[in-house]
Amino acid sequence: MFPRLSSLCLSALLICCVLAPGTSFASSPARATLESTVTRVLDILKSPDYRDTAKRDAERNKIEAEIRNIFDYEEFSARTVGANWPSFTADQKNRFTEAFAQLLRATYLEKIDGYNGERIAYTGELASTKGDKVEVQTAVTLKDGKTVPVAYRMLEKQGRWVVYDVIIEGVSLVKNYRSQFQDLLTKGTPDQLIERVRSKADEVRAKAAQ
Amino acid sequence: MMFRSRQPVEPALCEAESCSRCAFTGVRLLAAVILCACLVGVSPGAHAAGDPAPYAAQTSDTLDDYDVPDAHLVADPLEGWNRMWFGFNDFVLLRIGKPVYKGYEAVTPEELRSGVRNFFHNILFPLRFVNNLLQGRFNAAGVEMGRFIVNTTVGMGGLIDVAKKDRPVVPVEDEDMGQTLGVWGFGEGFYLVWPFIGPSTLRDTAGFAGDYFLDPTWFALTLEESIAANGYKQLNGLGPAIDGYEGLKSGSVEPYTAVRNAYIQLRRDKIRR
Repeated sequence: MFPRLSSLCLSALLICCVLAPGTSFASSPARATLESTVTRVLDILKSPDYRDTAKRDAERNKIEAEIRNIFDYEEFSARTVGANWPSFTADQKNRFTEAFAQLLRATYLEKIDGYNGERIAYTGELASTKGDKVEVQTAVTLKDGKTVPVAYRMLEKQGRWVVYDVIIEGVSLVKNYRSQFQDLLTKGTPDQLIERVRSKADEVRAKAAQ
Repeated sequence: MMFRSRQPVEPALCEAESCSRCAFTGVRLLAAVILCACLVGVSPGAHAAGDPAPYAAQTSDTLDDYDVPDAHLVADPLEGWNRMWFGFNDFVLLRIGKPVYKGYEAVTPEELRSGVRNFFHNILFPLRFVNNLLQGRFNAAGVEMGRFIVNTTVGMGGLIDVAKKDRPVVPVEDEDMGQTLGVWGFGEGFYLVWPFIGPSTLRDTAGFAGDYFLDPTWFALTLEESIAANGYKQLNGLGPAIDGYEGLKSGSVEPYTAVRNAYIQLRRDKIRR
């Protein structure tokens, strides 16, 4: 059972996937947004420039911009902090969002280099009755033939569809972080939580730089 | 943690050199398996590979579950005790298991490791088959049966997973007794961390003990052989466990809570599906 958790680090693969050919279904705006981002990131990853160490940092920045564009870190932050979010001051909200974004990027962007030709198939879509939220369901096929279900929860914000949660093998990233943040908030203050998230992001980055 | 060491729950069961009771159990089980397969009408893996599942659009209001606090997702009355074993497992996996596995990985080809993985997965067929039946997943049980037959024969005793490329009639997941109990309506009880085995719940612990009786390595071999075989199985399969645990831990600000939450979410999803 524990090895299954390995798929948690597959988040990075959201951007690392080749679209399944021949899915000519009239897709929803949410899925279209996700698909085009995935395609662009993949093109960057596959380009010869990405293998060129001199140009790699610039290419990485492009990927990061794509991800920043589709991932709504504010939504992620509000949802992971949950019920405690309104009690944060505006300043705390900003600092938390920045720290959490750093942590997510440090953790998952580093894994992009592990891209190994995994393929993605769009398997379904789940919309809320109001139509304001959509879960785009995909299946990522790994090199060894194993398939991992990955779902992206998206909502429309100022005319754009953005991702607010990633669910890998039934494990929601937001719910997982929320359980950790709630744990730390019952033991400490928001500032201590922000500091903890920030230092963790630094730690992950330092480790990756080694 | 994380390596599911199948420590015998009742180690005395198969101590005799030639254990007639076990052999008998084995024969009976095989007979039952064949009978069930005939009743079920197996049609395994005959479908073309490659096509993605048909695209489906549905509506649901479960997307709005974010106001619900999940601090008490699962009861954890033994948290102090669990945290102690969590630390112990962390040490065992990363400080002992990891270097040993790296050494093993360095001296063995991937073909061997995947062959061993396939072999052990194949012989756990009775466990998956019986649990599929117990959950009423007769088609999935049929698929498991077909895969077992094909992999055991054409796949040279299970070393090669030849059935993998065929798309099954129904989606098949590795079923176990913990999931069966969940499908039957048993609650999780509370969270439990076992040394070497890792995260579990009261229900999954009961299931784990039940699965032991369906694991051929325990009823078909002597105790020494079983321990050796399962020890090797754990070592061979340690790679994903290390990667998975390190991946989860590296992004976590509170690893104990992260693992507890991920485990519960994962198991609930498996039971739902």
